[in-house]
Amino acid sequence: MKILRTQPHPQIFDLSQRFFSHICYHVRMKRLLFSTLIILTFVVACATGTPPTSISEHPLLTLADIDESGLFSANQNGTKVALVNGGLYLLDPKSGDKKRLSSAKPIALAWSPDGRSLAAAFERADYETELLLYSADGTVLNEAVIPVALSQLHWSSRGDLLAVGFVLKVYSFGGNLRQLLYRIDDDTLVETLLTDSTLRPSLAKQIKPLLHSLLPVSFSPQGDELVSLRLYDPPLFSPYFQLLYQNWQVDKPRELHTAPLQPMSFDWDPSGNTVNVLSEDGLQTLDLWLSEGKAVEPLTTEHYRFTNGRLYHGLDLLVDWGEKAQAQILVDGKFLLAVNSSLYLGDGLKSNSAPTYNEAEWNLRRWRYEELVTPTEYQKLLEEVDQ
Amino acid sequence: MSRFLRLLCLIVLTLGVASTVIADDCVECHKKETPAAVSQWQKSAHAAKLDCTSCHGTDHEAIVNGDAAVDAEVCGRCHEKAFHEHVASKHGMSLHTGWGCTRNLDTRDPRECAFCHEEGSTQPKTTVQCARFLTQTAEMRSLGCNRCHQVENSCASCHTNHITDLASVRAPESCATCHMGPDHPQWEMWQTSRHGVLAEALGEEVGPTCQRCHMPNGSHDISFGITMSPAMTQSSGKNFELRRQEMIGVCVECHSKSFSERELISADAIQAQSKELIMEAAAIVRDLADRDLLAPSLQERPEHPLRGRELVLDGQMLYEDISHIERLFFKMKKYDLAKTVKGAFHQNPAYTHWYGNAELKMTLVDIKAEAARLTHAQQSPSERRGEGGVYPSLEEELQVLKHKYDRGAITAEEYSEGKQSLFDTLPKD
Repeated sequence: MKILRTQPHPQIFDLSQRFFSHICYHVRMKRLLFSTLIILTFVVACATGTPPTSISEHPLLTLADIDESGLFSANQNGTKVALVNGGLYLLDPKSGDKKRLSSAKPIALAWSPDGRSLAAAFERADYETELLLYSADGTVLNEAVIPVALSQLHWSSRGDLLAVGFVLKVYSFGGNLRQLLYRIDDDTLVETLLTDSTLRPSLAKQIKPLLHSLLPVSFSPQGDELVSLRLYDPPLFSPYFQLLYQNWQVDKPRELHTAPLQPMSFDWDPSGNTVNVLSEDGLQTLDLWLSEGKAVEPLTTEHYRFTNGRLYHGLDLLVDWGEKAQAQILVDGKFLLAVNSSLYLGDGLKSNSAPTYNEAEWNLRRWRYEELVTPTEYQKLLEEVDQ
Repeated sequence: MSRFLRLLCLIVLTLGVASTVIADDCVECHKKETPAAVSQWQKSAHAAKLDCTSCHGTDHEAIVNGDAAVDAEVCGRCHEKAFHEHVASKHGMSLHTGWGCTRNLDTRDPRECAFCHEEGSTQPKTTVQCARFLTQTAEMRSLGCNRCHQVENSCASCHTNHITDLASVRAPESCATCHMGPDHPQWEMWQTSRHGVLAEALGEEVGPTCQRCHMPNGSHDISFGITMSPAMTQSSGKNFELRRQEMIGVCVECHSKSFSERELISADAIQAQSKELIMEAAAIVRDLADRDLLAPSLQERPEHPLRGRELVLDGQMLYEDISHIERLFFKMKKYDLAKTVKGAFHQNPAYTHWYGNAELKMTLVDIKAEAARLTHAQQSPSERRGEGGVYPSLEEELQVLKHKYDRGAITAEEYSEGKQSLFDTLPKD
């Protein structure tokens, strides 16, 4: 792993995130944090009348009302959309027809790459999440219960349904925080322990509401690898993060570097070889495999990415829709945007290529992770099998 | 000056009187508490010169708590020659670890040093670092391990506590407490050899005992004449020659030198041939581990207490929490090899052949059969994961190569060539 480039990143974090970071260091300011969050929520709610900014001459097309959470998911070309508006709905963007799938509100949604299956997660109890798998027409195909507070659902390019969640157990003498990955394979759940942290009592008791945002997990475009954060809370030092990189088919994570406790987010480049790490320190681009004196690959500038309510083209910020905005970039230059309780369809992006499953690449990446092949051998073999 | 001398004399006299009083007190009280021990001491050679405190000290509380053990160093204050012979022998030198650390030092794995020594220290650790010991309960450690291995620092292991009549330690039965059983049945193989039968029928003048060959003339160097380590690795160089000549020197009391040499050379050959079988079996087990075919695998079982997830087939090998094929190997190495080799050197045909060599070969058959079963009948790791196609099988081959390279079985060049030949089979679009 080598840092390709480090540069300060302007205004990555707004006021609320700074408070978020601050509170992790100074837990006594917890009350102030929640007061601030409530005020910010109120401010955002009052701003719902303002139409969002388009990014080109193409106006944003309003598709439907959506919950304030902005939770939705579309298949790769946007022909099927699932959204939350009081319950779970299936939306046909062309006709505007909506079909209610559930009166309960899911906490995560994800369409399979082929658009044939929709995964929806519903919180049933503390550390109990029900997963439902729907067909494209809304028929329930399968269901499972996983014993975690779910953070996200993700489909790999191969078609693996992945769920990430955590379990925090708080005792008088401290706490135990575990992050778990589940692969849902027909009737079996394959569990992988991502991180396991021992926390001091003060942090253990106050960190639960922050965990979803403090411990992001980001999957590679192929969906075979992920970066995550392990929280360390040593007895004599301030808590800190260890940035981890892992191919989930292999048990052992690799430790990249440590970072102070702060909000962080990750964004993979389309090749799945480098990761952008956004933090208070700015933007760091990490090449996960650069070694043996190989030349530095420049970061692609043609790739669109959506992070923290902002749309970027390469490193250029195109538009800032606000922290609460949610967006999904589709393959045909279109994108979906959820902001101010409305779901919009936008257009005018140069098309992002959709990650497609490549058996050779998938296996070679695992071999590289297991050090069965060197990074140089990986590149050479990938070029050979792709010829 | 004169005042100081008077004071010094007073202190010395006071301590002397106190000591006498305490020693007398011991006997008076222990005549009631442990009369047999007192009686044994009174009848011993020690009684004329030594009282209780000479060996046990004067701190009764420490004695009761077991903190004032009469170890070999206490005996060594008077029995200097025997003590030095003992500590330099296999009995006295780190035998509790089962390694005999200074034997064949040049050929030993440097990691073995850590079993007995702290980094940079030549002093043995006080704690036993034997994997089989570490996996035992406290009760088993005490009776099953230390009752024999305490010989390292306890003359009483053989001599008992208060008896000084040497008849008890000159009898071959004295050795039988420890040198018997499946892992090293020297007692049984001597007893049923011509030497043992003659000793039983006609007396020790005709049939040599353990002591006559291994501790001649009252020597406490029980390594006398022995040309192998406890793990049956043959000594080398000058040490081999020295020990061999020692043993021939004993043999020629009854046999011709040529006969003695021929018989010992024959035993050497049997030892080498037997070790070949062990190496063949070890290679099979290592190959299975490389291919992750052991069941349970190294990842699925509890970690080895000293070596973690490593495959351990040496003297620190466990007989629990291992796969069936490793259990077969353990029997082969620990039991069958010992019976063959020690049977040969003790001139016992049945132990050398049927209990030893035949079992070695039959266990090797079992190991090969189990390896075949694991290789062919059992699914490969990728098949167990439900993965088919060319990539999973290639991945397994790459892992086997990597395991071999990591453990030094192949060179970097061979590793690279092996990988390239596998890469050449990758399907190209």
